[in-house]
Amino acid sequence: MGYAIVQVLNALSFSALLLLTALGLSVVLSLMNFINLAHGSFYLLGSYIAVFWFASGAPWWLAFPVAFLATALAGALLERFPFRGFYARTHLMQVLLTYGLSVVFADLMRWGFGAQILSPELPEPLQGVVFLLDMPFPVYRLFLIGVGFFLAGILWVLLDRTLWGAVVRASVADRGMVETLGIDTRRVLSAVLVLSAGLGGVSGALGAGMLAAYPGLDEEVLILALVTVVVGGLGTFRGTVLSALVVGFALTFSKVWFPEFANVVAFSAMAVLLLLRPAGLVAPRLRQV
Amino acid sequence: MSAAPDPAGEPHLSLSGVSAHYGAVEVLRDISLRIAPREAVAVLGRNGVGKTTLVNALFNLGPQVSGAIRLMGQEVTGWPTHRIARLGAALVPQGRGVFPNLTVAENLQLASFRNRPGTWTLECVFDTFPGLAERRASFSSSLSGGERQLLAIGRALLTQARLLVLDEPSEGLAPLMAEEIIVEQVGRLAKEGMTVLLVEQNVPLALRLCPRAVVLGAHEIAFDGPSGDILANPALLRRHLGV
Ligand SMILES: Nc1ncnc2c1ncn2[C@@H]1O[C@H](COP(=O)(O)OP(=O)(O)OP(=O)(O)O)[C@@H](O)[C@H]1O
Ligand SMILES: [Mg+2]
Repeated sequence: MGYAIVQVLNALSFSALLLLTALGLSVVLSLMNFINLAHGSFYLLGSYIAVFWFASGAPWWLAFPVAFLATALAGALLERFPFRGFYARTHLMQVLLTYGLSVVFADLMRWGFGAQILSPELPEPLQGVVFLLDMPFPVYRLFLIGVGFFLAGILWVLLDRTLWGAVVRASVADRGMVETLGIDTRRVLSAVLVLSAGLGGVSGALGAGMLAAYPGLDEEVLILALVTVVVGGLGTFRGTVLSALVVGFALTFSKVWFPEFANVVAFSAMAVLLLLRPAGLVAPRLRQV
Repeated sequence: MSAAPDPAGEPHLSLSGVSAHYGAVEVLRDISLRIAPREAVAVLGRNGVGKTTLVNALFNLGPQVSGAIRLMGQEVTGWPTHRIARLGAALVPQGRGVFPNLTVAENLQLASFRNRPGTWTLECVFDTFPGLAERRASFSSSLSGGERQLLAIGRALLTQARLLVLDEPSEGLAPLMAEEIIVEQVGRLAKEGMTVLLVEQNVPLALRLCPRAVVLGAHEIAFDGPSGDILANPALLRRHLGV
């Protein structure tokens, strides 16, 4: 029983991480129709920032806002050049651009942070384990579950419940019409990309305590985030939440039950799911973001 | 607020030598037009003659434009749409352009997102169109055609515009509803001093509201004058309006 609970919590913490990462990818894809394969680079940069921040002795919790701001800044610069010029181009061009950039960033990070696996020295309050029915479970993962779902909730409120979110949703529906209301939609879209980059960075900072940081992690995370977005269905917030849970549980439990074939089992299950529901778990409805 | 048009004043809108094309397809050629403050002008013409292109050229929403467009005394040719709008022009586009994935209230609030507060407030719009107040929390995709039209007009008002451009507002509405919205509601706005540019296929309706009419022929303006003169000109009616 304790073992089952621990596995469920493991899956939940993985899902929380997938959710945050995938949301960053999904907002630019569904709101701006822009495929950003460099999203994994934002994630890995955030992870490295957390590793070095935790080691620096500064207040540990600042690692997360700092990772958010640093990657948001990187996003803002990339948005000015070259992303902005590619919003209206085909997906293939966007893929070529952002994949190329992600390769460059991977090299830059390997050069800057080295090729070894860096595991962060976790801050005092997040170290250690709690016992659930005599089974140990890392405190850090509980923290990850709480913060991950909390941040996803904030994002939902921002996009679904605020006027700024309404501007974003309206820009998706009819950009020209939003412009006739005196709103500069280019600035709105820039802000969405910056927000997405920041989300990538904060996911990485949170994930570092679970997945560590190493060259190649950017791509692993990117693929999982893409799978999550596609399984969930484009443009649906609920879909992404549901799909982060599905992917997180599928990967975690296939590792438990079929350790040798974990990825084969998990990805086959998702492929079947997509064959059954090509538009994703939750087909986009009007309201959803 | 004086409601009489002011032909001697600086025009709210003036086009001189405006041509508009989509790629190699020329739709409008050398159009010149002046609209004085508080005037209500109808733009008529057959299907596909270029009425919407004229509107889109004014707001820089697609067609390539040459010539000079002046709005509120400023040359705006080539400006981004949001800057043109901020000078005081609002659009009720063909098909109404309400945001289906937003609630009625959100649709309206969007218009005051960037514009300074002015005469029109959310409550004013709800007082003017009580039907919308009841639906304020509904998604605008659930509204009837008439309600959507009122929503699009209310949204345009909340930008505090002085020039209201409506593109075929009667399209898809039952005759009584079109009558009520265009003649009553838009007529009242015009009387209160709004400058109105009304694009219409429904000639009698447009002529009842607007004392002046412009008829677009192939590429060019075929007639510009008092509305009464159009009805007295059967050749023009047949040739360009198909009536
Ligand atoms: N985006 C576009 N690209 C290319 N051609 C266009 C485009 N929009 C309109 N056209 C063409 O320009 C011409 C004028 O179209 P426009 O929509 O301005 O006509 P309209 O007078 O508004 O017609 P309607 O009464 O049907 O609304 C048409 O021949 C149309 O096919
Ligand atoms: Mg038209």
